[in-house]
Order: sequence, then structure tokens, then C-alpha cells
Amino acid sequence: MSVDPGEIIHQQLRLKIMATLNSLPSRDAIDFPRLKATVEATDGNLGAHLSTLEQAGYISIEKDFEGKKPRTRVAITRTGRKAFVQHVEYLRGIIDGIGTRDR
Amino acid sequence: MTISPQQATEALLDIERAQRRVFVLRGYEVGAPHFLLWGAIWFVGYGLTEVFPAQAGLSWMALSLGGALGGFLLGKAAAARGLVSKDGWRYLAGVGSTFAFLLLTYAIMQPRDGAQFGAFPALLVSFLYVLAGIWKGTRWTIVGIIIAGLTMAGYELVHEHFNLWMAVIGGGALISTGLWFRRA
Repeated sequence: MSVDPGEIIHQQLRLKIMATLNSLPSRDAIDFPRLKATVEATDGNLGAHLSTLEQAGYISIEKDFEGKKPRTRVAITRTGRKAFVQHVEYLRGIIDGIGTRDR
Repeated sequence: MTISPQQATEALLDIERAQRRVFVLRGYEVGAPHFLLWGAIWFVGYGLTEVFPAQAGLSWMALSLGGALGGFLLGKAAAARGLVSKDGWRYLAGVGSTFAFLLLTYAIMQPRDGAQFGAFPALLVSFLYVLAGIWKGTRWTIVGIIIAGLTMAGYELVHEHFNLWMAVIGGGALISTGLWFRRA
């Protein structure tokens, strides 16, 4: 059984994460602390939602080292960008009264 | 999944807020190296003006051209990362317009002493930062107010060594701003 893409994105924090990542230039990634500050989330909460988005293939998470400090960088994937844009269109459709409320 | 128009509106507002925050943070990221560059230019320019006041015009001309070129290159680097648009001529046009405005104002207002010559560009830049902050984020406005306050404090309190004040305090404030913006 496949999961409705809207179910994944349409959660307040995940929506903020996707909106933030979608605003980045293509192929650009954001550091975990900066993403946390941008979406105003706690470490644990953000980590859990990032896992959900990663499992859906909407984001990629890269862990490396900057000098001796571990670093986690998050980027949106092409699938994620497409899903986000479609979800925004879907939301606009609901407001304009042209979209279906159920999907 | 069922989403009501109210929920859809709230979700779109959340998206808009997140995008706005990214826009503001990107402005700080792009602005940071420019503050570091111009902080160094202020340090050298006002410092040279304090020591060699007769050569102030020449040194500021050279430093301003260097600053414009450096800023242009920083803009190109930011454009290569997709942080700003690639039309770097806007930066050069903005710097050129600012200098033209300064020179025309000097021609009309005819400052009486070196401190007036030095204070006006700093106040103009402060004003531009305050204006930028209305759209680009509160840190710009805070910086504008602080630079204007420091400029006025130097002008009133250490008028005789105003250029030295601006080299150390003004240049230092711009460099600190660059570091502050970089950490945003």
C-alpha cells in the first residue's frame, strides 16, 4: 500500500522543512543547526521528521566532517521538489475551490 | 486525506513564513562578506585620512574602486552558488549611484571640515541599511542605527580625531556586523 504524498508533506513541521529546502538553490544543502533555527524545531523533533522525509525520498541527508566536527547537511531531492510544488498547487486549488479536498 | 480551505490557507501561510525566513537568512549570508570587505576599507580609508588628510580624496577614490570591484566579485561568487541573481551590474550601478549622490551633495552642501566629509557617507550608508532592514530583516536596521549612533557620537565627542574614530570604531562595527551576519 503506497502512502499519500500529501500525508507526508502536510504536517506543519515537515511542510516548513520542505518550504525551507525548496527555497535553496538546486544542489545546495543546509546544515542541521541552521535548518533547526530556520524551522524553529528541537533536535529530536527535527530528526524524526527528517527521517520520514528521507524515507519518502524527498530529501537527502549527508553526514561528514568539517575539520574534526561532525556535520549533517540536508538537501531536497528532485522528487521532493516536485512533490512540494504539487502539494502547494493542491493547497491553492482547495482555496480557489477548484481542487478536490480528498485525495 | 481531507484538508479544509482554512487548513490549506494556514499551510500556505506557514510555507510563506518559512520562505521569508530563508530569504532573510540568505540576505545575511550574502551580506556578511560585504560588511567584512567594507569594514576593512573603512579601517584603511579613515585611517589614511587621519594620517594623510591632504591625500584623502585620492586614497578614498582608490579604496572605493577596489571596494566596488571586490563587492562585484563577491556578488559573482554568491551568484555561482545560486544565492543571488547573476546580474552583477546592479551592484556596480548601486555603488556608482551612491558615489554620484555623495559627490553631488558635497558640491551643493560644501562641508566645512574633514569630519563633515567623513560623517556624511557613514550616515548615508546607515540610512540605506535602515531602509534595507524594512524588507530584508531587522539585523540590517539594527546595524544602520548602531553605525549612525557611533558616527554621531564620534562627530560630537572626538571631532578632532573623527577619522581615527571611524577607522577603529566604524570599521570595527562593520567587521563585527559581518561576523554577526555570518553566524545568523
